Amino acid sequence: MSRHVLVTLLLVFVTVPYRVLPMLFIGDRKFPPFVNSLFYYIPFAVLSALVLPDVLTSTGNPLTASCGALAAFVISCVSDNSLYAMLLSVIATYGAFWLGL
Amino acid sequence: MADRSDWAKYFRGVRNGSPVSAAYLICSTALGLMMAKAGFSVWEGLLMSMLILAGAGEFAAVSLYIAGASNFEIVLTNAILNARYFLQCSTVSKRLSPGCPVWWRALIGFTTADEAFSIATIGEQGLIDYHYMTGLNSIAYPGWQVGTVLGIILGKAGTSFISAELQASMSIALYGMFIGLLVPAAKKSRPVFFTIAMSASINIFIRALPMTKDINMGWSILISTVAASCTASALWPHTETEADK
Repeated sequence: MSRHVLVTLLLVFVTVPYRVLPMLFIGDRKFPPFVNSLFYYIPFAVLSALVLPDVLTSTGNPLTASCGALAAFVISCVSDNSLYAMLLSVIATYGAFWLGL
Repeated sequence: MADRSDWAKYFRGVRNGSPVSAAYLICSTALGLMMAKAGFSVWEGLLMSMLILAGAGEFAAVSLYIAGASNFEIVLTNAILNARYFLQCSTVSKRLSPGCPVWWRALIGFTTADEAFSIATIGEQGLIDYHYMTGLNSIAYPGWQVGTVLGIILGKAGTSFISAELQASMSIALYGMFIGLLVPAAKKSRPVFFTIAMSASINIFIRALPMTKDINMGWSILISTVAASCTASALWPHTETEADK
């Protein structure tokens, strides 16, 4: 078995249970208000920590990455559709490379 | 047995999920390009994307792979990064319409990833119909797989097909999508804005300080997440539906 496959199989243990167990067991259970609040806020906190500061090193060049991130930010101020933010960020980054940044 | 209106809900899910699928196509192509660099074969990459379906997690795993990290570190990082899926699927599970068989619920959970979750929970009020959710995932999931395969094939073809600059540009796709999810949410809610700002600030701080900057990225994300979300939950308790009160 290659290491690639081994890593994938190991990762299954830290991915699939997170997704499937709640579908089986959470259902109608009531949680304390603080926990309900956590349920609501944690995804935003995680996504935020995932983006910053790693976005700046994602393209190998902080300048081009900043252009992309900025483009995404600007678009998403006016549009709720994250597809546009994503597309514009790729285009802006490529444009920044092309401009020689 | 599914009736006509169930199919209608399914196809509405497919329609709403199409932009998600397109987004996944681009992000996963960037992932595939990185996988090619890390030596993944098309089948190995497809296997990972089919079983793991985690944008950030797969990216983290593959870049750690390239950086020479140990299997333990890769798994640990993902264990922390993927914890949000527990919360996302708990939310979906609580709000899923009744009548969905257990095996189907499990399948929905297995195929739910970041953006699909956001569209379903933010776009729908109250109950999320399980046919709708299935439709959403049934177009989003293949989008991720096709892109992964495409990315690996293109990556292996080398820079003759996709220039190094284009490859680098595509690697921002996932971040662009996340920003596209975060900013509208932050605009609509001050507590959410606070959470996002606090979490990012702590994370940047941890990664900037010389004494902490080398800790596993999973830990810094965990610390930032816990600190920010607990603070927000304490200051602005949130109730989703009447049933939570």
